[in-house]
Amino acid sequence: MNVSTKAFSVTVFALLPAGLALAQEKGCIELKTTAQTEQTVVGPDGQRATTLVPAAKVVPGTDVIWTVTATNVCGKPAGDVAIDSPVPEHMVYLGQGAVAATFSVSYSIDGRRYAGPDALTVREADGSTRTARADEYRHVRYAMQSALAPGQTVSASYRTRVQ
Amino acid sequence: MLIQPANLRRVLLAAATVAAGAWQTAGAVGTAANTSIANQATVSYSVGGNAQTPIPSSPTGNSTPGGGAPTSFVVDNRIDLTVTELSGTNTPVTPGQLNQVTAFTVTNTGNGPQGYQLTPTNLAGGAVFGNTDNTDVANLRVFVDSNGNSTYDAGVDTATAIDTLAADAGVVVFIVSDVPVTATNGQFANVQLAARAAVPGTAGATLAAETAGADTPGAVDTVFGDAARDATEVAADQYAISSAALTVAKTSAVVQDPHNGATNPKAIPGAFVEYGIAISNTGAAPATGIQITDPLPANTAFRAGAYNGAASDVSITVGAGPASFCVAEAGGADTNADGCYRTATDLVVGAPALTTVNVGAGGNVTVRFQVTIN
Repeated sequence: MNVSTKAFSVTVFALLPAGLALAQEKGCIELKTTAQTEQTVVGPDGQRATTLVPAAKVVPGTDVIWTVTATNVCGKPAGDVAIDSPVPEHMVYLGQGAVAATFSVSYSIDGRRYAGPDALTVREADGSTRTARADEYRHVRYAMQSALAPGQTVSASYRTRVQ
Repeated sequence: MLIQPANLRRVLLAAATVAAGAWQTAGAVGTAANTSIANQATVSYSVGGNAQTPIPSSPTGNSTPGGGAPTSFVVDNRIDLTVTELSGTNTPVTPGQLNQVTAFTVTNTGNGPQGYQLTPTNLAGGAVFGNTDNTDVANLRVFVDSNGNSTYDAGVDTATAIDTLAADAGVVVFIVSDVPVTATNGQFANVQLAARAAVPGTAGATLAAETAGADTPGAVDTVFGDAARDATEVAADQYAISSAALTVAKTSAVVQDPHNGATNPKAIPGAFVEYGIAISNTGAAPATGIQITDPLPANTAFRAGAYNGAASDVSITVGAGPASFCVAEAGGADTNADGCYRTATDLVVGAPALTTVNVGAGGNVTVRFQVTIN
């Protein structure tokens, strides 16, 4: 089978107006993004504990933890699963949180070229290149090394800070 | 040509994320309050080896291609501020001076526009610029610099609170006060300006309040970000009181008698006696408006024409300078307006003959006159 034909048709779907897109059938994966902040609570025993709560009282300097959760909602295994999550405007990437072991993590500055921390480079004005700093990452990509089985849920989180 | 699945995913990702925001450098105070921050992930996958339409995320989970919604929150209002003393030194004043100024800068280091209530107070004790507070100024008022010249302009700078100050902006605030006449040389009056965040646009009347309880999603909550979490910052400044401290000494010497002349004269009837009134200023500021009133001794007669080739009655010297002279008319009126006259009982020496006693030896004033013993 010629894969290029299928690729063409898929691209057309992606560019359809929103009204038509809503009429589409459900896909095989349900994807959720949540924003959380850390809250320190003192328990009855006097112990301090940090818990994650829905993003609250977010001001410049607040750390926000984004979590993407993918669940296979159809009866067939899904392969080549890759989740792309941007670092929103006004935020800076700090680091990874809890990431499912199956994920291979890569980063991008421009949303096109993805690579691991050591391989991602930035071209300076003088033509030289250097390794990108974490605070320059604008996208995080989680590529699943195994298939997502029916009913299976995987998640990954990363930490950002409001500028 | 065959497109491999990996390449295919890349093409699709590029289409899905084209709207991702550009990198923007936030200002020094951070992202502005009420800014919405949104995030939407996209998953690409294949089923049975066939690439499927990517699915965007939603806050509660979405499985419909083209559906989903960004997960977003609103940046809340962090109130933070600094108050700093402006000049880096104290304000020298003299007792009795009115409307003396110390200056401060109030800066909004929060992430939204803010108003400020301003409160001036006298400090009790404590050191500012290394000088311990030991007196107070009176009639403390506070005014906001309205024209950005960092100088208090009476009648121009009239606002007593900061109505609205943009994020990262600063404004100069003046404490204006009166120095009591009872203050003395070498004293220090330390004052403090407190700025308390207020709702912008209320001329400082409505104080900002921290949002209690849980976050209000989609609305701007208020968070106090200053060190003490009270939306208040203070800074101190100082009035340094410098004044004149006068010392007056009076001496007398017999300068001539009818028998011995000027050689070893004795205090016998008909002898001339010279009085010297020495005034020195050991304070820190010139003494102005000086007038000497000296009762003429009993059993003597004022000796007119004792100086300046018999033309003047009183001699005045300042420091090591040459003597100046005046005529002390009898009758209680300074008819020639030279500053000197006599009443029935007193000699009066004042302006313009004598007006100021400056600080130090160079300012020492000696006034001399003579009498004849009856």
